[in-house]
Amino acid sequence: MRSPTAALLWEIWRRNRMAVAVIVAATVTGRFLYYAEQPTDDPSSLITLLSMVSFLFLFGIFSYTEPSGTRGIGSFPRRLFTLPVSSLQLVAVPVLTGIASVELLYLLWLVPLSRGGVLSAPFVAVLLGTFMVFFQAVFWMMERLGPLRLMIAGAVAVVVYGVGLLPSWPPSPPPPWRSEAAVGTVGAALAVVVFLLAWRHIIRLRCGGSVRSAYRLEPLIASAAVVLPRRRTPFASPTAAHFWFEWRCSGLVLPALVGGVLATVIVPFSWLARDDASGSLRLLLGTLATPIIFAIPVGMAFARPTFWSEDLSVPAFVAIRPLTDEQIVAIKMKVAAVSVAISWLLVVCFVGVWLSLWANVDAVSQLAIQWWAFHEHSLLSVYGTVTLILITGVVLTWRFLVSRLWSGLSGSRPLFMASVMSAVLVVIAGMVFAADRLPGWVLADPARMVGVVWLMSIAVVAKCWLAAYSWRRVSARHLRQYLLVWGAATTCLLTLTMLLWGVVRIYVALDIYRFQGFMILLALLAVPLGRVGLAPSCLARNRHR
Amino acid sequence: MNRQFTIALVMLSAIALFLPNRSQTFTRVAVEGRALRMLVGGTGESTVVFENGLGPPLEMWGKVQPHVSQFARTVTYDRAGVGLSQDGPSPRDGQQIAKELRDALHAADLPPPYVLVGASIGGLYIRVFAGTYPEAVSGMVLVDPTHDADGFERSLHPELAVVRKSAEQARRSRIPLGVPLVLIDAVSQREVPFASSAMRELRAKNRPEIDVESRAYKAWLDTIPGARLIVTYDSGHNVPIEQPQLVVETIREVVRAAGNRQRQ
Repeated sequence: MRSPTAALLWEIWRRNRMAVAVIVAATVTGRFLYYAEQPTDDPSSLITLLSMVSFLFLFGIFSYTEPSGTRGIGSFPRRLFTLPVSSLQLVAVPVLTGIASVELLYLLWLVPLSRGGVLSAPFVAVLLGTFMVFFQAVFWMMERLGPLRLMIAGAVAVVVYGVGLLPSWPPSPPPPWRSEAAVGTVGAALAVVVFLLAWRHIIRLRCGGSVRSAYRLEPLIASAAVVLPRRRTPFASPTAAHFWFEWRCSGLVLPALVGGVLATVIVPFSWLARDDASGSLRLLLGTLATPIIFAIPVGMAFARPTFWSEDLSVPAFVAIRPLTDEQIVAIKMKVAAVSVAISWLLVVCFVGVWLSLWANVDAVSQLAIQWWAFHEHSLLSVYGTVTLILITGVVLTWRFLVSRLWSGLSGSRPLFMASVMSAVLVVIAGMVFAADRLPGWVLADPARMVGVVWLMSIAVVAKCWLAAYSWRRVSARHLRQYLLVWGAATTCLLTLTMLLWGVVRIYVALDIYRFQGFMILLALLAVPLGRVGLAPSCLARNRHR
Repeated sequence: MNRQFTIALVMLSAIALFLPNRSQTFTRVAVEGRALRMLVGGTGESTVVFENGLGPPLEMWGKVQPHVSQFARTVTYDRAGVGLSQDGPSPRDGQQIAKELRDALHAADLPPPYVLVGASIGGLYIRVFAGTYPEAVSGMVLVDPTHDADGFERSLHPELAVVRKSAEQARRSRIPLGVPLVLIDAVSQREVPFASSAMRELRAKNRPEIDVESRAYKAWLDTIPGARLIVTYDSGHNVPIEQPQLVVETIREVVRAAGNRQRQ
């Protein structure tokens, strides 16, 4: 190599040739599809998906980490510390190459993606570059957090996305403080600061400073922990002790994420939308969806024996506890329930304060009046529906937290990955086949509805018999307890779906009986029945091997 | 394994397998080569024909038709271009829609006389139908019918674009003598729960228009012997959805009066 920089660039290319090939293939296919399809306001879902794939692979390349153990996301490549290059070069090469690459990729996708967009291309380019710096800094500077870095990077992406929307928020044109120029400048300045911090961190590592020493806050946190009240009373039972352990390890994550998004994204946006009725309604729906959406990725980690570890085997610390497999699973489900309850409490408190103090409630009250009028002027119908919506939200959030317990606790990586990938595939399929157009497609031809209802009917029968099979080894007591929960949750969902059916059937051209069957089957499928029964037996195999 | 749980699962499976077998039977009738969707229910001497408002499919009568079907034969249908019916020829004015309705009823083998029920813009169409085919009509119920047809000329909706023409056709149509006619005027409450301050202001602003409409209904009904006006303060414009029982009872009254008239 002619220079160390060239060597570092060659290293990046050599290690990521396959990923680069995927990016090129996705980009070429996306551009080809763009020219092949009719021009519309928005790019097709497939083009959006291909662009997402190419950007995801690019960020994957420029996380610029290497696994230090057998598995995991890894850390900044320590072996590069021996190269005869400065630390600035070590940090600047991947950062600047990352920025250049993401800008180049954005340039290639600019025409398809900017169709129907409201933000200017230079502003989006600045945001992408800024996010690349933040993304790399998260992975290099927070290596002790392990896989949690993925969540933090996701949260940073949400914040950058939210900040990126600031200039497009009404009124138009926006005030100077949230114009594209102002927001872009602040973002770029922050990126420079973060780059300097990352550089300093790498210097420290290279000089032999441990990762731990880089955290100046740690002594502060440690002294605070000593001062803060801590639990001194003994646990009443092993069950209580394990509940406390599970809660500290995994239960706090969902409330913390929901609270964080409320504080950093939704509260500022609710203030910006205080004069916009439809914007407030959209934000309300987004707020109510937040715990459910976060429960999906958190549930994937929650299903594993240890939340923060990628190892699926049951740790000895848990395996030797004087608890049965059923008890361990039941404790996980209770922790999930508490976690969901706190998350929803945060959401309900915020929504209550927001709607009563600074929200524009015109669209919300319009909806409430229509619902009230539809149900022959019954106030009870409105309050009852709101209550049912909240309970359904809680049920769905809990469902997404616990539904993968059987595969996560099995210890089988292929099984767990298959379970996770099924969720990812559903999301991808929803995007490729435009899930928002699915109801219209089904309703356009009554014959399609028949097929869908039959498929769901068979799914319910399969669910019942899988449950019967999985319950063989579950004690009657636990089964009764779980069936009580399942019955209550399913009844709630059934009631809500029947209320919705009563409204939709008046406005949409369809066979109301088939639609009713569809809604009932949907409610019966929503809450897992058999998989929870499978979880203790899966854990038993993993625990005693 | 617990036997009672297994029994519960067997029952759940049976319900799941039963649900897809339940279905409604729609009639597809061909009018000038175009398929119109129709739902026929109930039995009785009278045939009650429902004409939708602008936009919603025949399902808008979902809270009314099942009750009326208990004492009369009922027919709801999707006009051409509405719901699951195919598009019809232009212009989509009252005359064209009345002709298509007559042909559709004939194709479905539903002989006259008919008690016509029309909501909103459907009120204009049944007036045109009654004026064009007076011998086929035995009673009429107008559910908060369209009164003011101005201001829609530039609409892209094929029926709204010619609504002025339809209104003119309705004005020219004479209601057959002696046919029982009831008009439901939905005035709506002055105060509704959940209304924001902006909505309260808007409702107060629209109130004079509603009053003008009510006076116009009354003036028109005064010209028709035996016609009756029902003013409801408990419903907005969507009376079949907000106050279905009122619509059902009004239809019952008109069906009874029409039956008595035929027997005489």
